Amino acid sequence: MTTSLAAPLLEMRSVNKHYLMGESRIDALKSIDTTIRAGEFAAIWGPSGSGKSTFCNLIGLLDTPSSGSVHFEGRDVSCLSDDERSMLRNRAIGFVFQGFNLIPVLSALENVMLPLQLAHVGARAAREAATRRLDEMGLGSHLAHRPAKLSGGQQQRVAIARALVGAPALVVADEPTANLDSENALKVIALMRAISRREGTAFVFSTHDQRLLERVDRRLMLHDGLIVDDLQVVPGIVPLREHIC
Amino acid sequence: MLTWMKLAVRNLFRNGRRSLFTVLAIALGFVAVNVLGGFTTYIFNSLKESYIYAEANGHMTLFRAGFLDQGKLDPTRYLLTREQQATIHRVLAQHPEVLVSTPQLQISGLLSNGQVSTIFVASGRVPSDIAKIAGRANDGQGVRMYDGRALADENRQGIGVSHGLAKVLGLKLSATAVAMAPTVGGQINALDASLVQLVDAPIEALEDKLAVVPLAFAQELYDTAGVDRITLLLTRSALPETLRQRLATEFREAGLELDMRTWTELSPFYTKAKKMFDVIFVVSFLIVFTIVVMSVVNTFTMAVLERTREIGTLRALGMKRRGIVGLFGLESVVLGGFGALAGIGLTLLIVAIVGWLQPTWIPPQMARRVPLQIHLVPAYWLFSTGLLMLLSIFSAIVPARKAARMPITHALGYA
Repeated sequence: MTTSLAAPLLEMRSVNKHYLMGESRIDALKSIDTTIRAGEFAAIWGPSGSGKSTFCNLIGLLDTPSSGSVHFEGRDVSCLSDDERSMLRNRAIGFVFQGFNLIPVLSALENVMLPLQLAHVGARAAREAATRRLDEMGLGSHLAHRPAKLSGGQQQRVAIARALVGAPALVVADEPTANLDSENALKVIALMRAISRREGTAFVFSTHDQRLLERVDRRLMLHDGLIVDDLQVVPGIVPLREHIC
Repeated sequence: MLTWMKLAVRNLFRNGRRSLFTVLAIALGFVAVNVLGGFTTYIFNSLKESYIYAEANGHMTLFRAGFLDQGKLDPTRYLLTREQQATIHRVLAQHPEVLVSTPQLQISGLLSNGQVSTIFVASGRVPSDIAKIAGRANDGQGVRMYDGRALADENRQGIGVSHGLAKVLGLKLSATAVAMAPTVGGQINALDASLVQLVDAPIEALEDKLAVVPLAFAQELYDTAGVDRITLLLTRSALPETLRQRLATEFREAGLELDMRTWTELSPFYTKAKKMFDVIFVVSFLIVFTIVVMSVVNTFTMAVLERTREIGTLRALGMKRRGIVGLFGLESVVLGGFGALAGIGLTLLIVAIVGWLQPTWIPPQMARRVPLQIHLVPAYWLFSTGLLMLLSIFSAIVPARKAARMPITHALGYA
């Protein structure tokens, strides 16, 4: 178990997730107990099929557990309706997808404005907030560019700006550096790290990227649906490492 | 809202060719419905104008009670006397919506050229009243349905016969003939007549026996001052049914038992033709809108398939299920709107081309060519635009609902 000075943002208690493929059952996650705290900069890693994506789906409230509970900001998300989960995601969770998942017919600015517009923020306020985030990402001169006109690194930064524009408590990022060259990857990691520290945003990455794993505060290793290693590397948080299995 | 509208419009341009074909399908649907609707409206209006004004049958006709049921065997028993006619005109004078009230007497007998004779049926009318009724037609004169001169009050012997009857008797304009018929008293009477016009018979069966004569000629031949009907021309805004109810009371109070029939009741051809065109219109409507629905459903099913990952992204960002349905609904409204706009443009173009070419045709129950027209009917336009929008929304919502209910994780993982 981990303890920290920061408040728990998300708690998973005895979480199991299984899928049915025809008549066979696949246990994607088994008895997961963990806590994500505000401002945490953590990575989930492990081999393919270990349950990383399922884990990210559950903490991103994109899916619900087969058994056990996921509490976000103290609320059991299984008890929320689909609309309530949508509103919670919009308000408190940002996503960075491996394939960026930008809307191709919208400009960089419009893509970043989307979460705010879903939250019914006025167009002017949304535009200002989105412009600020894109400026922060070094894309102030690319506001009107559509995704197809941006490089992979630029698209990834637009996706990060979109994830952060609503000042979420948690950002869930799936392989955020997978499509980036080393220089861009390091830039993106540094940027997210700075935002995490400055704004207290928790980041949870699903990754294989060693460059990213070396720069997070906490590494959770998944294997066959189990957390087999939970390593804290930030001073002030104890214990630093706990082997669960 | 502007953002979602922008998104909807841009999404439609993502697969421009597919959207274009769908817009064209909607536009052609609109054109088919509105051109057919405009044509049938023209037909209905022409039939109505022709019956009421050109044939001078008016909007309503008054008969003595029983004439329509038993009058065929012995019409002279059901004639309206001079006193009854006066009472009727006195009552009608209180109603400004009655523009013309004119007596008529239908007669039948033999028409002879001096060598051979054949039967004829004729309508005895007041020529000046007929001219007044024709003058109230939309074009100010009504469709001319005869060759020669108009009948005149002062020329009591001047009559018109159908082209077929003239041919049978070998009569030409200005020729003379003799009309013979039994009077109401049962005596045989004969009158000289001169042919001033050759008329178009409205139906084939009357082509070799129809005649039109001045009322005075008909009354003189039957030796009576009576008439068998009084035809009323009303203002265009008058409601025949309402007037009938009011007149029924007033005539009853005046001691008259009359049978009043509106023009639609007396013109079964109009009613049958209208019903037939209504059925054709509805069937065409259904075919067209089935094509539109299938086209829109196909477009949105493909769009949902192509944009499944995007739908997952929007859901992940916090868009609710109804937001996804709304987004596709908005796209369908834009698609339907473009289609309707294109349809309006094409319809106007077709109407303009028809107006410019001025084609003519011979419609049923007409003997001469008349201009073919397509009327612009705003009510049809509004109705079909609204319906196309609704159909587009309905067609888009089915695949959109399916997309919205898809698990987000599945949608995001969709390749």
